[in-house]
Amino acid sequence: MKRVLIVDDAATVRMYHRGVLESDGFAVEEAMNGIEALEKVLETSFDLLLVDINMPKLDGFGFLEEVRRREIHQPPAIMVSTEAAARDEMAAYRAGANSYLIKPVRPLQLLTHARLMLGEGGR
Amino acid sequence: MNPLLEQFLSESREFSQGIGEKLMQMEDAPSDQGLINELFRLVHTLKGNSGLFTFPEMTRVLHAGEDLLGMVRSGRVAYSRELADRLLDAIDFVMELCADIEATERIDCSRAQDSARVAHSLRALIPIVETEAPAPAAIDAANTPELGLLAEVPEATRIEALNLCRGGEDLHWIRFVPAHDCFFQGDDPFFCARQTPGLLWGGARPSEPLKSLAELDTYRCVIEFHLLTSASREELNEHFRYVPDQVRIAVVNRRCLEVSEFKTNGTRSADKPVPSATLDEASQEQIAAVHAILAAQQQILMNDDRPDSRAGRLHATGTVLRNLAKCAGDQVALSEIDAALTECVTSGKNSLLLMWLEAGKQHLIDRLLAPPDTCLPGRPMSEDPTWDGRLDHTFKTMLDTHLSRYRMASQTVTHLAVSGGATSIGLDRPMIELF
Repeated sequence: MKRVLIVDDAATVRMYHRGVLESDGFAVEEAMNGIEALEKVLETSFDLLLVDINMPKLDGFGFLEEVRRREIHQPPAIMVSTEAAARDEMAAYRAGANSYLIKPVRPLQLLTHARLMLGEGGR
Repeated sequence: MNPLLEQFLSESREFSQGIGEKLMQMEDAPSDQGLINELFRLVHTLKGNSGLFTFPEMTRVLHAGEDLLGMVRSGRVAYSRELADRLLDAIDFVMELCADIEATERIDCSRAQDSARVAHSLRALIPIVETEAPAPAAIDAANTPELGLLAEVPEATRIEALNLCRGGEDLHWIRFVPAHDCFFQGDDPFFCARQTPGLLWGGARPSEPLKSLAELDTYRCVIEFHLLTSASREELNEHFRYVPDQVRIAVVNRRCLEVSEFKTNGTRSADKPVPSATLDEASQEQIAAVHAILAAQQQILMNDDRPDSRAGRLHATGTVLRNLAKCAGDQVALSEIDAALTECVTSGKNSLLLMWLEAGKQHLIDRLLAPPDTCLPGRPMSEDPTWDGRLDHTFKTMLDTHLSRYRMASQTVTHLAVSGGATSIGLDRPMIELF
C-alpha cells in the first residue's frame, strides 16, 4: 500500500485530502506544519508528499527544500496552494515540488496526479 | 451533517476567534510582522477551506480580507483602527454565515448582497479600489452578431431549444469573456461557464487572434464562451453576479431557431465533422495531468541553480518520469531514463535527462493518452487516424500549458483531436464544443 504524507495546517483540508486518498487505497499520515512533516519524513519512507505552502513554523517551500537537501529517500511531491500566480508555481518547483495544484483540488484530479506520479495510473 | 462540513465549521470558528485575538494584539503592536503574517495565514487558510464547498458569499469576503492583509503584510497599506474594525466586521459576517450553514447546511442567496457590501468595505481600503460592476448588460437580440453563432448549435439541440421556446420559455444566449487576468483573481471561468443554469449547449473559441508560441503569454486568458441556456434572466444575473462586466446576455428570438438553414460561413454546424466520441471525465483528467506533470518535470530539470538540493530534486524527478513510463508500459523509456539519471548524478548536470524528456515527451504522452483499445507496439502514433499530429504545434503547446490552468481545457484538446482538429485556430474557425 502506497504511503502519502499530507502536510497542511488546515484540519479541514487534511480531512478532505485524506478522505479522497483513502478511498483509493492509499495509506495516509498527516503533519500540521513543515517541522512536524520533516520529523516524519526522517523516520518513515513515504511514497508521495502532498504539501501546502502557507503554514506556521516551517512553510511548504522550506519543508521541501529541507527534504531535497538531505541524503534520504526522495519521494515525489505535489504542492497544493490557493495561490494561482506563476511565481508560486515556479518557486514550488525550485523548492522541490514535482507538481503544483490549485485548491480546492478535485478528488479525481488529485487521484489522477497521485496515481501517475506513483506509477499506478496506466490505462 | 457530514463530518467534513462539521470539521470546516469547527475550524472556521477556531480561526475566526484567532483572527479576532490577533487583531486585538495588533492594537498594541501595529507593526509586528510576525502578527501580521499569522493574521494573513489564518484568513488565507479560512478562505482556502471555504473553497472546498460552494460558499461563494463566504469566499468572496475572505478573499477581500486576504488581499487587504496581503497589502498590509507587504507594507503597501498601513494597519489602522479602521482596518481592524472592518476586518472584525467581516469576521462577524463569516461567523453569521457559519451559523446559517450549521442550521441549513447552505448559505441562502439572500446573503449575496451583504457579502458584496462587506467585501467592498474591505477592498475600499486597498489603494486600487475594486468597485461593484453593474448587472450584466442586456442586448438587443435583433442586432446581436453573436446570435449568428447559433449556427454552431447541433441540430438536436436546436430542435430541443425550439420546443422549449414553443412551450413559452425564454432562452438566452450568453457571451462570457473572462478577464485576461482571471487566473490571478482566483476565478475559474470553465467551471463558471459549465455551471451556468439551464445550459443547453456551450462552446469556446479564442477571444482574439492567437499569437505565435514565442509571443504567447499563457497566463493570459484568451478564450471566450458562448452558452445557450433556458435559465431566466434573474437566474443568470445571480449566476454571473461576480463577473457581470464580462457577460452579455441576449434573448434568443424563436424565429432564429426556426430557421432551418443557418448561414454562417456558408456551412451548417451539422455538416461539419462532429466529434465521434466524448471522453469521460477520468480520461480528461488523465490528459490534463499527464501534460501538467511532464511540463513540471521539464521546468524542474531546467532550474539547475541550487547545488545543495539538486541531487534530491533530480532523484524525485527521475522517480516521477520512471513512474510515468511505467504507467505507459514503456520498457525502453524506463531503461533510457535510468541511464540518463545515472549520467546526471555522475556529471552533476541535468542536461541528459532534460534532453531525453524533450525528445521522448511526445512519445510518452501518446502512449499514456492512447485510447485503451489502441494497439501501440510497433505502430507510430502518426498512423492513428484519431490521435495523429494534425494539431498545429503552437496551438497544441499553448493548450498544453493552459491545461494546468483551465480545469476543463482538456476537453478542448480532446475535441480538436477527435474531430480531426484545425491546424490552427483563429477567429474564423468554428467553435470548439465544450459541453
